[in-house]
Amino acid sequence: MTEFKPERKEVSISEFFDKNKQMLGFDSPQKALFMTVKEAVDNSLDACADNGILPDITVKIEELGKEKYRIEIVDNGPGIKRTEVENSFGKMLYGSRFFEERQTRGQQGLGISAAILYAQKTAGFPTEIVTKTEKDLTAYHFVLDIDIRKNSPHTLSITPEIWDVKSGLRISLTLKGKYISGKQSVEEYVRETAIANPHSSFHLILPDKTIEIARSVEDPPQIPIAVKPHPHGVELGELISIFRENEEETIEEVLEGKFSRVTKHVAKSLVEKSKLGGKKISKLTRDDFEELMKTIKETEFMEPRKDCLSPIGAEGLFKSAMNSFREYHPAYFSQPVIRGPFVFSGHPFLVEAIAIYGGDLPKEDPIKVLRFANRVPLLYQSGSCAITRAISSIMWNQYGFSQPVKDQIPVGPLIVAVHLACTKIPFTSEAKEAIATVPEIMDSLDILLKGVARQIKTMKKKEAHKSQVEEKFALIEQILPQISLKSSKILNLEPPDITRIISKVMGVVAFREVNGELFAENYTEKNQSFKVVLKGEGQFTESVKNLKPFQKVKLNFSKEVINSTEIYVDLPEPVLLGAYSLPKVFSDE
Amino acid sequence: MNEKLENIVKQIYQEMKEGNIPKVELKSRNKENIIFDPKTSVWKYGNNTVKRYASKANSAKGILKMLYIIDFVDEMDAGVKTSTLREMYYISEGWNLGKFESQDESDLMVEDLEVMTNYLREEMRLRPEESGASVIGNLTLTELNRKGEKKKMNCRDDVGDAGYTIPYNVEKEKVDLVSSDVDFVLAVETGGMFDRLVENRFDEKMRSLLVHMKGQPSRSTKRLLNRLNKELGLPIVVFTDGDPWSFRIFASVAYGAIKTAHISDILATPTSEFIGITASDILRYDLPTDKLTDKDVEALRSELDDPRFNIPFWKGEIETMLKLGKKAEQQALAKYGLDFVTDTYLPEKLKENGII
Repeated sequence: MTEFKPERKEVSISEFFDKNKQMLGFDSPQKALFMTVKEAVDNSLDACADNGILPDITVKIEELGKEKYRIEIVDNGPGIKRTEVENSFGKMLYGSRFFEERQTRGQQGLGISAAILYAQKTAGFPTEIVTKTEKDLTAYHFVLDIDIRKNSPHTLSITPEIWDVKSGLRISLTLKGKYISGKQSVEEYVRETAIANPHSSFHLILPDKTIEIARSVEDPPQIPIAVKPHPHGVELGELISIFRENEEETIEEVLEGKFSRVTKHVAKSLVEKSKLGGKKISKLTRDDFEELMKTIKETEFMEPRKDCLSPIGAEGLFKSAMNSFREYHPAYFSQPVIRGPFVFSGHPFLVEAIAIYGGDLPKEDPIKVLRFANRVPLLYQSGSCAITRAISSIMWNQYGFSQPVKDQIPVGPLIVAVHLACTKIPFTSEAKEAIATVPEIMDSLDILLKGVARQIKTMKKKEAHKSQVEEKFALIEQILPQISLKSSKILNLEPPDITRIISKVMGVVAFREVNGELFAENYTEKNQSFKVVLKGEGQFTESVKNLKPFQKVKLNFSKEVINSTEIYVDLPEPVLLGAYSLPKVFSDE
Repeated sequence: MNEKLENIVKQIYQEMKEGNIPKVELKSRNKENIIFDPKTSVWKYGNNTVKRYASKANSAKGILKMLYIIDFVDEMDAGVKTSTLREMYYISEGWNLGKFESQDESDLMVEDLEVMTNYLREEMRLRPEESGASVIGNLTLTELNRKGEKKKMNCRDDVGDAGYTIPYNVEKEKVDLVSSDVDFVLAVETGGMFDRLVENRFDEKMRSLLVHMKGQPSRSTKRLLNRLNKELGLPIVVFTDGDPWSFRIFASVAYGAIKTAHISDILATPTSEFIGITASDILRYDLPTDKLTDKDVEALRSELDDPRFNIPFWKGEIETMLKLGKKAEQQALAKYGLDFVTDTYLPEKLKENGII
């Protein structure tokens, strides 16, 4: 028997990812095209966010041949300094964001390089990048590819170019891909991105159509603040790297200076407890770091800062939902609900959601769930995602939705958009397609979603009441009169008077809003006297004396009052309240 | 105007005039209200009635729709026109709130009117899309054509191989049965078997009238069988596949169906005989078979509770089929050659049933 000894050799990161494309989501031509657009767009949005720019992004997909596409993404971001281009695009794991906690889309600076590499391998074309910063007079046009063995960029040419913009970046890649429309398509991705980034506008030029998405809000979101990592939020490897990068300092100085929520006093006690007093960082062994890590885990710190998160916000969510789903004529948009910030493993996070109900949304299909992580839509792996799981685990029948299978997505005309903002999204894999089911996140999602579901339930009740009222009025105003007309026409007789029948069918005093005015209509067979009270911010009262059967009276409330209040009526007879508010009837005020 | 239809309108009008919520009343058309009439040996609606009041939007709309149909029938009457049920459904597009949601809904309401008035829909000038079933054999009849002439024809000598096509209306004013020279009527379920019997000249050899039912027979086909039996005194013999659905074809020919229980008297022929294929035939003739599906088994089980099958012959056959777990088609008889059905099977079975 021969012993098998694998030959060990250094593998560059580029080489590793070249062999493990699926880890980054480049596992099929269709997905590769999607991922390329996604990585570029995410980078553009991040760059704009860092500089307080309202993003205008153009995505252009051209079909060059069978499974061969040219993808171009143009943004109005800050551009990249000429000297930084190679490293930013050509080197995997290059990024300015290591060792700081901050809510960003891209977290490892991996994706766009992977796309460049993929293009290079599948179509054989280098990537073209045109960048202009505000300071530079001209733009620079780079043609580059990646040296896989060395994990380093390889520039083929740099030419200055005139680009008449303040600043911006244009990247174009030619790759083997497959363009689709519908589910998990570029279009869906950009449309959902627009929902999570209401301050952005998009211009999509696809092989089969062109789409313009205008921005829904005019203010850029607050620039997320970078905070030092919380001791509970770092892994051993990160801990070691942070110390290795600061070997000239003492352990206490690094603990105090490079981590948040570590005071001088705390730093000292950490070192003492880990028995590292007086040691130089360069002399620390792996065991020492493990000891330090153990101490950190056992120590309580102040919770991390939470002001570093950037939620989409109530206004943004509401306006972008209105913009995006107008075509369905929804009956109802829930108020956006935001919960948090909370903390898991030293990372602050918050969750927010909005629900869109009714209208032309399909009634027989499972509800539509839109998942967002740090303003990036998640289109794949929905089954294993915390958001989907949290929705499935709710007992939806309590909120008026059918759930054919327990612990599955319910059925009904509903869209729920859920956003998780976090300094470190716990993805289930490198491809960043699904959020892991971290208990703290699951708990907050559960409460968040129930809050949204309750609103929909209330809305459905109002709707049911409204349709009941509308049906009654359809009966007395249209169907019964038509029966009267039709039967008399067939018999060649005078149409009978149907007021008594209407009174029998209704048997109530009805309140109805018509064009912003409120009317009381007496469908009983007696005179009626009553007091109408509208309650909202204030209270408004009007008394009606001796309203005769089949008489109608206009109540003198203003449009604003009617819109902002609920109606209460003081009347012993049954009352049918108008189609605009929940009925609450009581007879002794 | 048709008197009974007019009465429905008058009643609605009168109620309204008196200030009452208008309503229509008709016999309940569900399974619970089907009873056996020992006098005529058919299944009919019992005495339970339902009232539909216009106090709810839906039933009020129902009343309005009914008025529109009545008006439409009256209009057709004036213009001497007829309409298919489907045409009427599309015409209802223009009836505002009286518009039907589906053809099922409008078909059902026409039947409701039949139940209420005892008029046949054919008399209301409404007809189904196609009847299409056919007859071959020595039967002479006259049919009123479009020119208003009574055209006389013999269903053996004056027709092609496809036979005489049964029109949607086979009432006396349209089709008059003049004479026949046959001993019995053989009603056949499938087209393949009908063609086989025609090719083998079974009508001439066995002095029979062949009727192709085209699966579950239409109302006009059943009505024609009923008239052949009543007016010409011909025994009706039903020949189908051997499966639970074919058993139901026989039951509806012989005893009537729930949907049409209001006209069982004129549609059902209770003296009809069933000559197969039965479960015992499968064993006796060792016929090629198919396995019963879950739906077949379910259908057989529910037939055990169906009062129409509550006689020892049917109980035995249904239970045997369940035990066998198998069913057979009419054409399985071809196992023994193309002439087996006409030379052996049918003569044997007819003899056993005392038809010949």
